[in-house]
Amino acid sequence: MRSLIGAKQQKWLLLAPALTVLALISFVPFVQTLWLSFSDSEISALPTVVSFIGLENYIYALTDPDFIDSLGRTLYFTFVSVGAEVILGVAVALLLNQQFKGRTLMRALIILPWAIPTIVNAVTWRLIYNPEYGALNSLLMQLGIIGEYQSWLGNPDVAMNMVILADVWKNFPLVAYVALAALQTVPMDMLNAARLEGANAWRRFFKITLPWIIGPLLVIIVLRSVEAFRVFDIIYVMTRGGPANQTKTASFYVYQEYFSYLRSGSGSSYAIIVALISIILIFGYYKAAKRQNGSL
Amino acid sequence: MHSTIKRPRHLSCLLYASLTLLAFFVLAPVLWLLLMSLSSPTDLTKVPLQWIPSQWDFSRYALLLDWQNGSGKRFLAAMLNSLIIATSASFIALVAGVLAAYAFSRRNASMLLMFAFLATIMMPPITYILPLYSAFSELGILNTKVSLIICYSAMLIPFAIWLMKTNIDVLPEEIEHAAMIEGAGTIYTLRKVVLPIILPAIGATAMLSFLTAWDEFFYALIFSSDLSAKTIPVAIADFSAGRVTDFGVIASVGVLASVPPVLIALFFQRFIVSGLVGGSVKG
Amino acid sequence: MSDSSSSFISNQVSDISPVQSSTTQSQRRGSSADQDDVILSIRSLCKSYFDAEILQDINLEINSGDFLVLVGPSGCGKSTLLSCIGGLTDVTSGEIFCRGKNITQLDPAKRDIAMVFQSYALFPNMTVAQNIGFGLEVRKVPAAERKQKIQQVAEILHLQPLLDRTPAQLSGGQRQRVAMGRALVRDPTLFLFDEPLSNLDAKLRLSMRTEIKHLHQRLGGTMVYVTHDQVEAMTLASKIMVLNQGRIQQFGSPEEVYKRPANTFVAEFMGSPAMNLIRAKVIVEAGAVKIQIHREDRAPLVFIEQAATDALRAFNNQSVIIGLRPESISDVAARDPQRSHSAECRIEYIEGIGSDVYATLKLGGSDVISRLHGDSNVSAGDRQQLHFDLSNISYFDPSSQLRI
Repeated sequence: MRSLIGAKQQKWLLLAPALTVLALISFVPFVQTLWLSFSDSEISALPTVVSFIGLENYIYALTDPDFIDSLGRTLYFTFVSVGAEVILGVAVALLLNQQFKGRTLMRALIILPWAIPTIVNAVTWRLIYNPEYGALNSLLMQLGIIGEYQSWLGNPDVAMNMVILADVWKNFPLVAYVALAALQTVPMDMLNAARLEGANAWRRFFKITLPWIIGPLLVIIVLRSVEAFRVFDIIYVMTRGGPANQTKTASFYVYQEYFSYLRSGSGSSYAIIVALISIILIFGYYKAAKRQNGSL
Repeated sequence: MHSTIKRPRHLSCLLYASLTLLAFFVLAPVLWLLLMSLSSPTDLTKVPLQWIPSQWDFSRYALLLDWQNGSGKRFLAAMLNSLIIATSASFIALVAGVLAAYAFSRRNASMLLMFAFLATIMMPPITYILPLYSAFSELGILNTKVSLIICYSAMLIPFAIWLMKTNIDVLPEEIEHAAMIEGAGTIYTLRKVVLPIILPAIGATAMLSFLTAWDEFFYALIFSSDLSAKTIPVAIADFSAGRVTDFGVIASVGVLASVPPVLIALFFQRFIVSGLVGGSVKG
Repeated sequence: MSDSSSSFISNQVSDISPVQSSTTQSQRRGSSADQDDVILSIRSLCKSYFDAEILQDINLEINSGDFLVLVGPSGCGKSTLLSCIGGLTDVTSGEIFCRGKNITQLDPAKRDIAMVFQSYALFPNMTVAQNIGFGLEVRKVPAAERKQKIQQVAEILHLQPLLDRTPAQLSGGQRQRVAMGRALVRDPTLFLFDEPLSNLDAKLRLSMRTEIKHLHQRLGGTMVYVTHDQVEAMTLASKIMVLNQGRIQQFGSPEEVYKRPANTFVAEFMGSPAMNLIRAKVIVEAGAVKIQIHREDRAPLVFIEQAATDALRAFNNQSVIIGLRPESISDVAARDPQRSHSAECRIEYIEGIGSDVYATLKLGGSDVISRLHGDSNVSAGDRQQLHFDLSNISYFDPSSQLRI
């Protein structure tokens, strides 16, 4: 209802620095990628003639079983790791919301995995999984769970899940912190009333606590999904897409299309397809955030 | 807190058992990384492992913290690059972010634009990378810190705007009106009134921006090729992929690269958590 | 308003005639209508927000030294009007002049206006002295001069011992003083007050009210003051503007607004308890105007209006609404016996407040409150001889609700 005199001109002046940077580094390159995706462009030191080839790249991409497989793997990675992070995160939040000695210390402790750089995390787990001298092998052997050392990242059947474990370790604290903050806003009166009505802990969680924290959880779930969907760094360090391409995610696929095969045209169409799926997720974020606070 | 009901014994046991398990899950990889960096190569290649080092070996740290040898130079140069790049990008993001946040919060800038800003950081970087690569290459700034500073600014700005907007939104607007009536212009009001009040939020934003920039890998991998611009994540990837066969060296690099973010996270924990969580819980 | 353009011109040269203006009936100039003295003048100001019209056709003019109080129920637009004057809200149409200069589009910072906010709006990161000196610092007044002015203001407002504290360390009343100090120190053309006392407790509110009044009398200055409290309006104002639903209901001196309300809204809004509005019938008989009020339990109450206007005569044989303040119906004889009427009435119920006794009776089908002497010992159901003081009686048209 209030609008200040001269607010309009000021608005654009205030926005100018952010807008300039984002326009040059994000908006313009996106449009250029979009244009490339309709062309037969290739990365080359020599000047080449680039021509418009319509939807050809897209038709090729969507009929390329390798690319479709990589999309499927990316969705698997996203779904399983975010799912595990949410279940673990909420469980940890419930645990840390109890009263016990050393609660503050425990709450501080779980920030550790999140604070460690992604690349260090990936390197650490790669060393832990090492087939010859890895800590996981040694531990499981000493506990008598496995009879001989395994090649965790070399086995196509389990490699992806091992990468997911590393990702979950790094990212569950974020979900736990959000869930914990939301848990602290659950009105005690409501829980006590339910307790007096005879609802057991299980019922209280599903009927009162979970509906109360679902808003913030949804926001973080979608944010994490967007992030997980573009996973690259952890794959690059841990497996480089192997074994047998079993951990080759979409971002890694596009990276190789660009920088190994130098096909910028078709690579761009892959990138745009990945972007479109991200947009669906982003729209999900918009909905979740809107539901959460109405303002955006 | 007024739940004075005493917990039944079996629940108490369950609670502490779960906590122990959680502590192990969280701490074990970190402790192991630390132990690897201090174990001798022979301890690290035993089957099964020698968990507690037979003797403490600090030689890798001495190696890495020495400019004079190859590994040390590579490592320290990368640390320095990361420090410069993350600090500069965070600073740019803070300045641009605070101004834009004020436009969204107080000057009716469209929420649709805010959403467009946020959408840019949610898009996978592969959608920007190729045109950026060509542009930087034409400008001759490939493999310079500048190109990474610009990219990271773009990555941090939307997020900085969002965090600061949520903090400015809850300030009573009358205070700014009072400043304007008293004759202060917008920038003066921002500097002397708004910024001092939201200082904690600015601190949180600065920390989170720094951590995000410190962590970035993809742009750095593609835009940097040697000591002049390589950041620490890229250096670590090199160390772990390259000729180094001693796990202890890789672990030491990891430990040292984790020191700044872990210290920041632990010291400013409350700050950062409220900043991180603020956006999703409070709105 | 049908012809706003002509009213715009007439506003400059003369009062708006009652016929032309539907609601702004008694727009009067201050006693010394010297053009040089006009500080604030607002012409045909409108403010709408999407479909909602928040302010409609606001015209006003105040002179140097005036204390204008904008009063009305919440949501009437009074705070928005103040915001428009301060430049914190843009206007949809119309113009605002300050000392003859058109400031409608001027940045708030350049208007030379000071404002005291409802929430005080002190800068939490600055000390009291820094708060008071903020405007001077913005204007790059040298430190020495600044310090001296802050000292002066602090002395006037008894803030000297608090100068180094921050707002968080002050009580509500002290914050209020600091907010006033910040406004006073610059000696601006115009002071704006946005419900400055509404966050104080009842006792402090009274003493601050007196203090503001004294400050105004001592330091002069031109004020525009928003409140929803009609007692505050009556005690502080040299001019009152009553607003409702974005329209001016009446603009005049406190006495005018209180004694000659322009319509039934003003009649009911100003004064506590409110003015009694009673249905009555006008009968013109042999040149005399008789006012007849129906009573359920006995013969109608009839009195003769000796000062009847032609407008009132025109209501012959029709209903009107008469307005009588509670203090005009009393067990104590009226000052002017010529304009008084006595009748025995049945008291329905009573409320004593110590100084007075409010007795409710039924007249013309509605509850009517009369104010009796504090010592009177009537009780509910009693019959009591009451004196109706007609010297300040008001008549309203039942269809338009306007003063006749």
